[in-house]
Amino acid sequence: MFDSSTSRRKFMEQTARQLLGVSFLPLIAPQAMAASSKPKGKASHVIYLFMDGAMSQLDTFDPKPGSDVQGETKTIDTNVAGVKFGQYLPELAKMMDQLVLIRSLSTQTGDHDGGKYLMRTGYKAIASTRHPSLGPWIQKLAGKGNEILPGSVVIGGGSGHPAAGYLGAQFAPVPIADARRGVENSKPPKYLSAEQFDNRMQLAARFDRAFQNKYRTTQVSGYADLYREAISLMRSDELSVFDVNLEPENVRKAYGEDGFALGCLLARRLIQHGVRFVEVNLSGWDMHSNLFSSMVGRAQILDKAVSTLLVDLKSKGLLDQTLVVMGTEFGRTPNINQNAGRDHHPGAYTCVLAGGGVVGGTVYGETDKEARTVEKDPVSVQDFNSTIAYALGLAHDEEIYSSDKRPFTLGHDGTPLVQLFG
Amino acid sequence: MTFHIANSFQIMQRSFCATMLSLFLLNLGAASAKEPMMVMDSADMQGSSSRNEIATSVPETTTSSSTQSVRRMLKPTQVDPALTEQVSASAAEIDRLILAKLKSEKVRPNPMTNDMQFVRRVYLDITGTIPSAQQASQFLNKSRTGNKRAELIDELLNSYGYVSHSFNYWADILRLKDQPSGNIYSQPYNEWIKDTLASDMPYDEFVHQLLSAEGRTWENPAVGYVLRDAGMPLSNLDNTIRIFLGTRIGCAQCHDHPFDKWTQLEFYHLAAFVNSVDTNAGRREVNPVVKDAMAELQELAKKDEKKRNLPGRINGLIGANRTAVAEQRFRSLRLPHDYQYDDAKPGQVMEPKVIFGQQPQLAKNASKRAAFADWLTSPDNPRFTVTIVNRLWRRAFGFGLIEPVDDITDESKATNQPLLDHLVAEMKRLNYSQRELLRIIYNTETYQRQATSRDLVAEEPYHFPGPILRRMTAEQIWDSLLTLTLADPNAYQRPRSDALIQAVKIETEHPLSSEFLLNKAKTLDKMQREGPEPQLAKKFTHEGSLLARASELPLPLPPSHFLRQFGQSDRELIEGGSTEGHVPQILTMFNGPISHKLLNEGTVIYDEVVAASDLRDQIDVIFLSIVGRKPTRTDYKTAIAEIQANGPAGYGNVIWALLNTREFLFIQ
Repeated sequence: MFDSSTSRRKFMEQTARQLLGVSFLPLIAPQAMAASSKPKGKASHVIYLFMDGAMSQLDTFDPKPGSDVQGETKTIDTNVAGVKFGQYLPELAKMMDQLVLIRSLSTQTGDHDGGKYLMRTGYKAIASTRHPSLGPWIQKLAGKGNEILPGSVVIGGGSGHPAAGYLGAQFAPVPIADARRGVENSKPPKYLSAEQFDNRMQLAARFDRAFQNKYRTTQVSGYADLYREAISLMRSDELSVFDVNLEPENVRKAYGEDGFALGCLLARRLIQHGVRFVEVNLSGWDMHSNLFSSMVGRAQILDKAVSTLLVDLKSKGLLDQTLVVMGTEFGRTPNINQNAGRDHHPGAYTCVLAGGGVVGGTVYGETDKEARTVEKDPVSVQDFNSTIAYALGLAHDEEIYSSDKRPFTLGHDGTPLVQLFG
Repeated sequence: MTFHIANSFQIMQRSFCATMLSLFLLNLGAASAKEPMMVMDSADMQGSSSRNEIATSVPETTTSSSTQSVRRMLKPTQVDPALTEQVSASAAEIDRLILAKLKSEKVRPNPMTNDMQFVRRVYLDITGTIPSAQQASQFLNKSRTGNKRAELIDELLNSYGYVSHSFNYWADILRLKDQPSGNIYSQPYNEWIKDTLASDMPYDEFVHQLLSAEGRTWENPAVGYVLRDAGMPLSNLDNTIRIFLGTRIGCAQCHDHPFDKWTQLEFYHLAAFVNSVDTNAGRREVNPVVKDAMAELQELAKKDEKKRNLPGRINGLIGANRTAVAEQRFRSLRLPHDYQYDDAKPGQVMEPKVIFGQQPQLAKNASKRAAFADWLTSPDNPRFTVTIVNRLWRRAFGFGLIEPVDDITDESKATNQPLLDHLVAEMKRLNYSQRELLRIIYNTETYQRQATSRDLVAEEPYHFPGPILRRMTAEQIWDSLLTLTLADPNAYQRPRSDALIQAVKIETEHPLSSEFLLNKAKTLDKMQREGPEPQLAKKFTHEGSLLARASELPLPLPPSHFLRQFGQSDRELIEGGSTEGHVPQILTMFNGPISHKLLNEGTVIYDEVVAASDLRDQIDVIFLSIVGRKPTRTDYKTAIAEIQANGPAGYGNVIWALLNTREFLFIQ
């Protein structure tokens, strides 16, 4: 999987040092797995599918057939006896035996930015710092999986993503606005040779020296890492990993034509080449009005893309080493409002896991008869994120220090749900 | 390609042939350079394109008739010359309060900026773009008699650039979108916001209109504020309290606030003021007029598979006409049926009550929304004025006196309370003029000090030895690149939405036929494809990019746009913009079309380099254009060596290299 040769690494190291006057930080940090014997998870990658806008639990993975609050969404059986889904997820229903439903998540955060921030970082947003999201955390604890490709990638993440937070630019996920376009402007014009490009970088370094010497802030110095990474990527054959158009047409069609579907396909290509963490966003779940008609389209995109992704990962032998997560910022109200929609409801919602060593066919936690409150086995966001760390064999309670010397952990006092793993 | 084997000695000669240089430089841009630069259209644009004048040269706003107003250009009102002395007195008071605090905290103030640092920063902070080389040297060459810094501040505050940059600032806070949903046309609202900034509408009046306006967007544009959260009056209230009172009460919508004092009961009492808003108030006029036609269309759709989409297309149009804001004065708000606390009963009707300050006296039948707006924008409201002055201070310094600016609690302490008091008093004295308050702040020595060169220490208060170092916003980077490219970066002014709205609105009291509605839908489609905006935009589009200032582009932009890549908000979250760097941004600066455009004939920087009289002048122009300063001795040496070694291509390399410095991306 790690097909870059040592000689190339040496070359890159020299180039970076010469061009940017920076030392080359070790790309492959020691695996945290070795440091702690506790977590048993064997996965090495995460594909995190984020249902942006808050996906309704009742109309997807926690329906309550026969209850007044179910509304127009009918329910269907899955291939696990007694477990039902909303009617627009027929393909995933056939794969319930590979899925883990966690139906007992809840938070106290009912605004989108607060909810997304919490899900992505495990912390509440505060003014004095910005917490890192899961991808950078995992890169920090597990190291990169491919020295040229980024540690984490966020596809369609929106402008408010917490990204690397206080970990700084070295850990910043690479954002991809549109999976169809991949990384744009990644090649210098043909008339410019590598030497000429280096010459330009040397000039830039000389002109910039006084400024850099004067302003020694994290953000300014972080650019050294960005320049280094950008140049490595630009010159690497691995760049083609970002091009979903290299996939056969039948594969692209199987996933679906939209941005999310191709994002799932791109995610598979990236983890196949060692990227640790890929987040793919599907927006449009904030259904305050006309939920029952809007649900059809959203759920169908989700159903087709994710079921294809799971089949694809399995057929390539990647499913065991890849934890697939379907998350969202909170649930939606059981009561249907006057606009035939559902409003924000952090009191109970469902997230889903697959692959990465989880035991499929599991339902963890339970809500009441209206999916309003959690009745059994409550799970916090911190427990959920700790579980993701556990799947990767990472210590969710390993402390790291922010630049102002405050200790943080990935799990933020959560407890991993070890019982979900075989 | 042969450009890099050019004879450098010829090039070095003082009297070298400019056309030859341009010929060589042309090669740098490869294929794209052969295309002509964009074609300017009409004469009125030519008239306004003198590049060393700022927007005072922009033509006056034309009359409001819809055909002419399509090309209307905003002319801002001017700062008050009579206030000049008061400005310096007030600025001196701020400096005194800052220095007193710094002294007691034993912090040394940063050294003053030199004129080069000042001119770049003040252009970026007020107008949202770097100065052109001419603008920078005009300021630098001005004699020191009089107060040339104060004069420049006034000149910039009077310019269109101030409106443009302030619009970007408010667009990020207010999450402005052209069409927040299929049924809502908000362009008139967005245009109105620009107008209020150009006329410097008193801030309290501006907010009052946002909170109390009624009608359709094209009748009373301020309704766009409520329509941004149409159907969600409680979320809208949460946003209102956060944006204008700097306070978070959103948690209390569902339960008592876990980290602040607000109870759910208080939230519901407050919500009783605004819950009566109706955002579909046009239905009473529109429904009877379209009822028969819609029934007819639905029949058609049922019978004919090909016409299945007809009702949907028409629905959007009708929905836009139904969309209107009014208050249902008798609608009451009840507590949720699962209300869990002992202080009230589930389902209980809520009396309107404010969360702090004076309780408004509500007359029977009076507008509750207007009463709420009166209370919120009152000079006596304990958080209204504090919040706006804290925001404006943060705009200038990169950091608030209270942080964060929108999560103020009873425990929040300003790092300099006397200063905050002074700013609050000034804002009231200035009748809530944002521009006059900013004018005072920019005139302080504190603002004109060098930026702090170290990270702020978390949990340690910042006492403002100077502004903090900031990376340019996405809009500042884009607009700065535009300044390097176009002689008049303001030439493209987005056409007003009058023609679009004309195509949308249905004004009749008589029943309409289905043909009429179908034609209407066709006209609207055509307007969106070929109307004044797409037509003008085409003329300013070069290699797929519309060369217009960020404030003149559609809202929001697609995720792949340069501005979005550099962190412009997707307009989903309040202040959702980001100034974090990442690898794709770097690749765009390295290899993107804009970086290459700048090495081509027809851009300002190219033309000015060609026009400069000798090598040193040329290097001066490049440095002044991009980083707003003269080259140092080392810079000269490096640049000359480069140009000697690589000939004409060397110029391109120097330009490219400077664009790819941190010095370019950051505001010192």
